[in-house]
Amino acid sequence: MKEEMVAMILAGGRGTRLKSLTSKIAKPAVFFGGKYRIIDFVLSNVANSGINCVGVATQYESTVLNNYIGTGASWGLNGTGALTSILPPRETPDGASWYLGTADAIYQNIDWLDKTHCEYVVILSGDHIYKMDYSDMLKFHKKNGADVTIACIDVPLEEASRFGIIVADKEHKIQEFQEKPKNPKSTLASMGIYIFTYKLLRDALIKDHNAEKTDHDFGKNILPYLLNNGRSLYAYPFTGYWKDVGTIKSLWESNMDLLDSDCLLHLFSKDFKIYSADTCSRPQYISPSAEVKDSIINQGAVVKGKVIHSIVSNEAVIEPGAEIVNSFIMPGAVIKKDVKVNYAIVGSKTVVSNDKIGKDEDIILVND
Amino acid sequence: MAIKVLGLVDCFNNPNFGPMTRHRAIASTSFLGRYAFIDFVLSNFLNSKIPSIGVLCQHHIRSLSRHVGSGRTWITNTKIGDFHVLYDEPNIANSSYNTDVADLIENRWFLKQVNPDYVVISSPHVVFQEDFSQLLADHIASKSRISLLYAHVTGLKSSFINARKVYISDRGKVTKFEINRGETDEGDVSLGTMIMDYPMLENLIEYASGTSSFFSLADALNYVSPSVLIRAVKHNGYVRSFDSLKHYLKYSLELLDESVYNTLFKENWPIYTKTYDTPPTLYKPGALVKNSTIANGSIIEGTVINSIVGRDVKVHKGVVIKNSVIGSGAVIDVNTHIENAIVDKEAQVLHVSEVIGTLDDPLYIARGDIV
Repeated sequence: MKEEMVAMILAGGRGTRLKSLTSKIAKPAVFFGGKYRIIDFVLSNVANSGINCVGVATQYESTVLNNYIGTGASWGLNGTGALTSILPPRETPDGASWYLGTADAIYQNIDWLDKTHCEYVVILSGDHIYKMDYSDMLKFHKKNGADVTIACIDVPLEEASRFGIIVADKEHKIQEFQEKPKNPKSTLASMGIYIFTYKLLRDALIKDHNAEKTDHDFGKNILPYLLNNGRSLYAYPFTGYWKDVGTIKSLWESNMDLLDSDCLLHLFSKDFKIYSADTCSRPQYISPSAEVKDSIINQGAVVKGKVIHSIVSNEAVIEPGAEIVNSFIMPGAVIKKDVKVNYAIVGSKTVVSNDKIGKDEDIILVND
Repeated sequence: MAIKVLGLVDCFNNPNFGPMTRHRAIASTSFLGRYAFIDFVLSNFLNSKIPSIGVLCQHHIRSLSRHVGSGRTWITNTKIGDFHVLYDEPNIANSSYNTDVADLIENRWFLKQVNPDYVVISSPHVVFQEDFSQLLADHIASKSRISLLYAHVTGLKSSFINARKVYISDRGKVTKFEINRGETDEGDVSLGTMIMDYPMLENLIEYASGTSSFFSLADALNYVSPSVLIRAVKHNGYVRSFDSLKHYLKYSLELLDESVYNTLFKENWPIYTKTYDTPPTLYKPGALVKNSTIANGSIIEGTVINSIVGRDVKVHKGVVIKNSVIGSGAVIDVNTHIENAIVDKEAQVLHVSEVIGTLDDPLYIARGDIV
């Protein structure tokens, strides 16, 4: 095969800050938005960008995630000439090792990348909510004659210290990296999306693998190394919606963002669909006793109580008298009669029999 | 080795919904917002572990093919199983000759390719849930050549019109078929679903084509019934024959009653359909929805009561929809009142403030029309 650009998705992380939501499944497989799993966004982006070849590096609690990705059929990435490969760590004649970092996860799959004969690789995270056409980013990469292009987004100054910050000149050429800086010199945050010219990436990964002191991490090792060696790195400015849903709070916020009619994600737009595995659910049913306002409800849900400013997933049941406000209810959860749930995330198949009231600044996770 | 079973969906001589089925078969007509009628029979086959399916298509092949696609959705093993839409191309413009029997003869290659031990034949407009694996086991044990599914129905004066009433002996054999003209209200009626061994199907085809080129399988069955023992098997539970626009609306709305709904939708019996990858339904702050099903992708800002709303429908502010079925992609503009109506796919209600029919005579707005 011969592909101009292939995608590598890093989906092996544990996501400990999502607490018990990731006790049995990897973060990219966590439910989102009523009908999705988080990884649907990046895989749909790949498909919508015209990329036909994608590798997904999985490691932590990967069974559900691997089954979910399957052949890539849910995103159309299984047609003739397309390739979706699940890439867990494996034993080789040289021994076996877990993925030791983001860079190592790609290094261990150099043989896979070689076989695609690609010119460019786009490295992606499996746990971000956004829509992006990577082919536009590739055009930018080629136009600048860049070695590496990093997608970045403008963040509020007060939040900049939580991100990897990029300092770039007017021509978008990167001058400096600041990892979670106390005094940020810029408000451009790295989105963890990189386009590499493959030859250069290959060399850098091998050097990193052989280095004595390294965390095998793109942000900490590979990118600073290339910058310090005079390579041309460019910052690709992205202006749409982007959210790292790594915490209970950010996962909740990102779900609530879907209810904001000004939300730049444009989930309901038809020309850049987010694909997902179909759940063969029944039609959703809103009963005579139900009240649903300012909410998103997925097929298969049964609503007999009140749902205000919330997200209710497939096969979730809201019993009569129950009141769901400002909450995200995952698939198959049951909110029993007269139970009040506010500012909460209710995990998949969890049965809630008592009131669960969180606060805006303290979202509670209800997950059995 | 396991017995080989072929499921055949018989889309011949299905009734019609008047203007609603001008461009489509009932099989591919939208139902409950997210399904097409054929999904129920196909899911019955799939859930009953029937590995291969043929769809006998009388007309409207575009609409049917668009819905079923390659058919993979309803096949478990895509190498061992087989799915084909079977179409009688030579007879398509010759309606008297365009029968299910002629279609089977034209597509005999498919029967020979699957080479089943048994065949299950079912019609898409009669909606019910049935585990054919159990029926097959009973059929084989009974050593009958043909088993026919029937239901005991009250309401024959207004439903199952032109369907075949069956008279059954004490020993459970069909003694007579009779077209239901609505003379009596109660009786046993054929659901158009049969199980037979493959040689029996070949016999029926041969008998039908040898008797009259216009004969259908049902005609042949009627004629052979005195000489072949047809075992009558009673279906219990939900069954409706969707046979008119009025019944389409009535039976659709009836399913909004949970006690009815739960007789059709059973645990561990998923109904599979084509996926459109639509986002979930968005209810705006002004939405008021009661006793309704809304399919994904719809955006609701108005009031929806006792209604079924398909995919990607826009219900704007001030709209009131009652006792109606709204097809996928329809747009209902501000302050419109819609009652006892069927708004077909992609229609736009922009310029009229009222679209009101009666439950007995629902107002129909055609696909893609702007009113």
